[in-house]
Amino acid sequence: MNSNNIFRRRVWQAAALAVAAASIGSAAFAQTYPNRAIRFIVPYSAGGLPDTVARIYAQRLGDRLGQPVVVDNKPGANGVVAAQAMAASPKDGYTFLVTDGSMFSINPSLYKTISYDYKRDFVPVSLAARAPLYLAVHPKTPANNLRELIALAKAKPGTLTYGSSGIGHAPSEHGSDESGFVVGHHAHSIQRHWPIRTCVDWWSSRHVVFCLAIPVWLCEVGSGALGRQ
Amino acid sequence: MKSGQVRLVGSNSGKRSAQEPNVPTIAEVIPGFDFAPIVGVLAATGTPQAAMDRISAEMAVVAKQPDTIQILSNAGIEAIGGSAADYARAIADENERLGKAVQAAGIKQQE
Repeated sequence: MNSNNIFRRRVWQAAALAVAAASIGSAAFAQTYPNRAIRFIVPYSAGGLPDTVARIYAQRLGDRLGQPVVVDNKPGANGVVAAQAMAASPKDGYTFLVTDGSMFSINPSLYKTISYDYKRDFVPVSLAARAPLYLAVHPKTPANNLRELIALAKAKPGTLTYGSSGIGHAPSEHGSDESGFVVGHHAHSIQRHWPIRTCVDWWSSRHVVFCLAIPVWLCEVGSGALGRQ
Repeated sequence: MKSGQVRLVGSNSGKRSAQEPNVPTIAEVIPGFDFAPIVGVLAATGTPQAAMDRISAEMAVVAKQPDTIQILSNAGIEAIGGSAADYARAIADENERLGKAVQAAGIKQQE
């Protein structure tokens, strides 16, 4: 056996050892993981859809893992604050992001420069939930269904108003997509921070149309925040 | 909602929700309209695979627990517990639909 072959064999042995060490390390990690609290960063304030989903899963996940799963709300700047919190945390499996698609799908379409990049910075782990939003109208609005609402928006352009939770709020923006869903296109958007402002403004008839996730409705309507008319 | 304080005229999901079966979908008037938000869990790039696999597996188990399904359903939310691959595909689909909608709406990018 010449020296070249010996060298090659040693390289292979070293490589095999490295692979074995890595898998032992991985197995050891998996055996002890998690051994402390896990953090779910949510890029919105408490009470909205991602927060609701995060909290419901966090409690049950914590029961199964034997370690608490803590929801940490980091609202602000269309997800930038949460992305910064993720970037500043060790990549050790104890910090996750729980969010809807706005950070990845809407914001890159709205802003030329955004400090995070979905493909570069994040890895999908689990598809937790889906929640339909509902297009709602004030009971005083003369539209009993979607066709009538579209007809009303076309007949009186700019007179219907809708509330949204802020810049890039998906349901408001895609109210004007190419399929001819013209309510958003003919309506006037008033940006408000949800949920309280949007609901109360709407209820006092300043908004006649808006979209909102069901969880927030239950909270607001049920709590009597909309009780005055 | 059911007390008449609010009139629901359409949902943005591709099909009617089990929670509000009497509310039509917007897609029934405008075919292909499917914008129900999805919520998922992501890790930072560089996170140990074993940690992501464990969380993903446990999320899937939790999503199938009857009380999870019930409490989410009460809030109008469907439990899924899909895999990392499911979520990656869902994000890609959503990006495509919303990108088109933003373009069609003529919304210009801001700095």
